[in-house]
Amino acid sequence: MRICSSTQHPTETQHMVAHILDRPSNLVTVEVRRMGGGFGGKETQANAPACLAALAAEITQRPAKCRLDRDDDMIMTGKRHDFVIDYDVGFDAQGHIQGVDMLLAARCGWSADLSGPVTDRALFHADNAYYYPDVRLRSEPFRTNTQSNTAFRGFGGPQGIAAAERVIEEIAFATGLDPLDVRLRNTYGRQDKNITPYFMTVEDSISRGIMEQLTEECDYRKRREELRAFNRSSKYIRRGIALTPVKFGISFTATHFNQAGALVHVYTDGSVQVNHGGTEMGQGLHTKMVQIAMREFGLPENRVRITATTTGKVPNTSATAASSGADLNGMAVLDAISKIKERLISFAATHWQVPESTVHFGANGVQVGDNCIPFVDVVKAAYMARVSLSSSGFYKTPKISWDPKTGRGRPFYYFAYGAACAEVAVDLLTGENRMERVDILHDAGQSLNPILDIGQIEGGFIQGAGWLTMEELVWDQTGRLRTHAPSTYKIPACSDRPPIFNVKLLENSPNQEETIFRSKAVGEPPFVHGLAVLHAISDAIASIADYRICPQLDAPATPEQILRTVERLKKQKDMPH
Amino acid sequence: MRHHIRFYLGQTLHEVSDLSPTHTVLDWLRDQKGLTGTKEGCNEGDCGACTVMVVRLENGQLTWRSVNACIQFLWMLDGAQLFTVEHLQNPDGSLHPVQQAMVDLHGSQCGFCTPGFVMSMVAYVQNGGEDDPKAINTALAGNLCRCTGYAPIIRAMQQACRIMVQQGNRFDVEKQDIILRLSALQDGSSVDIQNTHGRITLPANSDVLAAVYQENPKATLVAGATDVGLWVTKHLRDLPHVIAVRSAKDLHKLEQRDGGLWIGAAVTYTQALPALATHLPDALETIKRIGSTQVRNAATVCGNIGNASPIGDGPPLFIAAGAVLHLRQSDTRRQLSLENYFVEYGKQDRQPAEFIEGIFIPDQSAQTVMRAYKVSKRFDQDISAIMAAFAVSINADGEITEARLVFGGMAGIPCRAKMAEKALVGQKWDMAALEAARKAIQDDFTPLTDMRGSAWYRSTVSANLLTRFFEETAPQGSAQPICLEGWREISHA
Repeated sequence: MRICSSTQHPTETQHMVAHILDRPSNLVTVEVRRMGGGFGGKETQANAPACLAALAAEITQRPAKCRLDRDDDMIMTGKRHDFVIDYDVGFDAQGHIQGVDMLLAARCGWSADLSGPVTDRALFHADNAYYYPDVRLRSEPFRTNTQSNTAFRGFGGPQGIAAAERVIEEIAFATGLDPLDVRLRNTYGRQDKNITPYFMTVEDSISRGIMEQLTEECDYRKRREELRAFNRSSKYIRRGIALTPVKFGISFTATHFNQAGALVHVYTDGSVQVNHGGTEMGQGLHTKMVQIAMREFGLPENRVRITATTTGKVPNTSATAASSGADLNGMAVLDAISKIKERLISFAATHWQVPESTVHFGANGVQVGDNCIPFVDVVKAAYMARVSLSSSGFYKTPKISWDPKTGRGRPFYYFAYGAACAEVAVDLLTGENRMERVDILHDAGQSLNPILDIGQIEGGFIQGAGWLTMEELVWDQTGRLRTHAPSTYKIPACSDRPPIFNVKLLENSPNQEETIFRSKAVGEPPFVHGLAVLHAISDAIASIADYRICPQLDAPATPEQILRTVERLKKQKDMPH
Repeated sequence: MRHHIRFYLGQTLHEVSDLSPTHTVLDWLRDQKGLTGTKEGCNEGDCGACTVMVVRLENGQLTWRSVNACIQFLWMLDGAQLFTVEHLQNPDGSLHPVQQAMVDLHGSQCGFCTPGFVMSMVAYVQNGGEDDPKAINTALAGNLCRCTGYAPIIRAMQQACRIMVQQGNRFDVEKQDIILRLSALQDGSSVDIQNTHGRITLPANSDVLAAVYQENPKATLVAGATDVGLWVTKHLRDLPHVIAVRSAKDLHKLEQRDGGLWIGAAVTYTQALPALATHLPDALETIKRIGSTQVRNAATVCGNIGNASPIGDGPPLFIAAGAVLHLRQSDTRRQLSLENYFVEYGKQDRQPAEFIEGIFIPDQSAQTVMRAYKVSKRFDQDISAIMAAFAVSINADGEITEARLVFGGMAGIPCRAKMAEKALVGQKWDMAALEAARKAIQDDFTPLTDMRGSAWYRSTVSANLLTRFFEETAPQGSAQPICLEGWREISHA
């Protein structure tokens, strides 16, 4: 059985199909050329269509295709988990957090799917970039009569971070401090105040530095004063600004998923085929993998070819998820290439009688002693000498461990960081709103491909902003989803992007851990930057009550939600405190 | 009488008679021609992944229009030339400047939306579109991208605009050929196709239309298909007999006549926009937010009335302007104040075999001030939670002599807030009148709660829009547009 699926997790699809057909896995091959987007929605949800098509093919003994109409797709498949979060926080007059107690309740839908790990990741991120001296975090995954919710970019992390940022906001209003100062005062330290609620030491806390740099670069403090002055004289249009950080843990929290395989072939004409276990969904993973081969072999782009991901070439893969695609598969590809290179170096040293240390792969060819030999000639000679030109590669993330029973360990290899500053305008008559300027400074380590990474940051930010402002799921009394197509479920459109949109990668910031070329994962963390927009809207409408009352603006901050908050604040303002 | 439709796909002439009334352009391209570059995203004209470009000869000029192939019926292509993403590359095999810009500036990530974006962008630059952020936003409002956040696509569009000005592209070279080709297809003949799938009638003029409709009163009239298309793609309805509106040449009239603007039944929003912008300045920004460029390229002004949706954005606007609907059944014609056309939800004052010939929008008097406000969850291409159009006439003494406060989304039909109007008429346009109208409007409507807004939201905002109207037009108001920057830019004389 050969399955062509739009799945982020070919191996799981293979297992599911094998299971439903009662066949061993070696009789099912799943192939993924590329997906038209994934974002986590295809981590498990592609399995059902694959199984249905496989079953139809089995019964009819003919090829079968299953493609859902958009409405069916949106009704059937899972969404991001929505959360209701209860929080208590203790703090001092300077805004230092003393203790946090949070209950994070999630709507999981009718099946467990990935809800366990999603609510776990929400717990892992309920601190965001902040040190909680005393803390209790609990999750409540609820079974409900709605779609079975699933993975979506951030996987619970953004929800946990949203809670942390609300806590910060409450402290800011209670103390009269700028929320940014509360943030800066509570970030993880480098030497002390660096233990997370799950007892992992934050070894490279750079949140404060990133926030300070962005504050300077986007002129946050001056603009904040100007906006407040504007608001004093503007009756119906109010403006707000907020600067929020992200610290995002990189690794699957299920430790065993942190492994990857690759298979690299060098052909006798000197061309290279790279296979790896990751899937391409627009994030540029294949491009990054090709770049690794180009760099290692010293080849131009047209000599390296990537294939469709297939369980026949690389087995037992992990889902391309948790931002881990380039980290895991990149190292596996590098491992395979290194093995081939070792053989070629050993062969060349013997063949041309030079020390191994003088053999190097460069853009002009292979340096062998004093001679530079075209890559293809080295390869041909090696073939004639019966040297294997093909190798598998494997990688497992070092250092990580996690004990769910004790809630202790090091679930993450490292953290990715960043900060965003958003300025918005809000219309108090309707709740309509608009982003006017956004500045982002993001840490991609030593970026594998700055253009692709900036693409992930721009896209992730807009997606996050959409999640928090306009993307509203509406169910009726019977649990039927009423917003099940683009006509009713509104994602950001072209004009919703901020007219001023500055995105920068943090410079000179190689990953402290030994990741692929010291890069950092970049898929999910930038999604969280959307929180700056929610908080900027909150800042704008706080002006109604002279910035004395925390607006407690809930997401999604649709025009209606904003107007409700505005009306509530107007009433609260007149109430005695 | 012809018994087939004919059109060009790329450079190839197609004559088709074996098609059903509901066969969409998208399905035909993908299933029958194997041209799978055009994607099916939502199948309801919202995401733009299926965008194609239709070239027509209108008054001797070529028009290049992006449309959503998913809700265009194949028979609507009669007399046109269709280009898909597969037809863009230059004869030497190099990419179209728009495609090249998308590659150069990383405008594509997962790629699913890309062909649709490319077609919208090609149509934009082909129409002389400039490197102007607002115009680009409008051109691309009907294309959704989930990956990029739009930034690199906009950069690509800007590059393409610059390069097109410098270099042009293959379509510039082919213009004369296309004109000749399309001219040869204009035979002035009606089309009638009857086969096992059903019947398709393309009347050459309104007399034929009236006659065929009179004989077949149960047939479905289709103008731009931006609503009827959804009956098919979403409600899986069968349409045994369709009668085209836009094939009738005489229904394309758009002209100033007898103290007002005449918009024929076949005139699309795109075609009507410049005239409407002059005629009803405040309509401009609202109409630019009706659907998307692709939708407005297909949808007709009169179709937006004919389908009698309670949430159409056109009707409130035209009712406020005192528009008159011209109806025809066989050889009998009558005129009807537009507001009286909408009787109740799902019921209009339209007899069997009666059809809209056009709408007449009288010139507004100098004493009338008018504003229109569209409120939706998303700024662009969203169905209104509330659509409001207000017109008040104020005499020399500052007294309100007439008020038309018209709302969409507040009831089962577009309708006037009669109590609020009553509170205004005879009063000075001052704070007291505003407060009275704000109070009265709560008695005018019992709005619904749905996914676009709750009853509370609709009630609150309907009153707040009166406040906005007051601020913008009353002597005590601020006399400035009260809105987010860039949301409405109208110069009122």
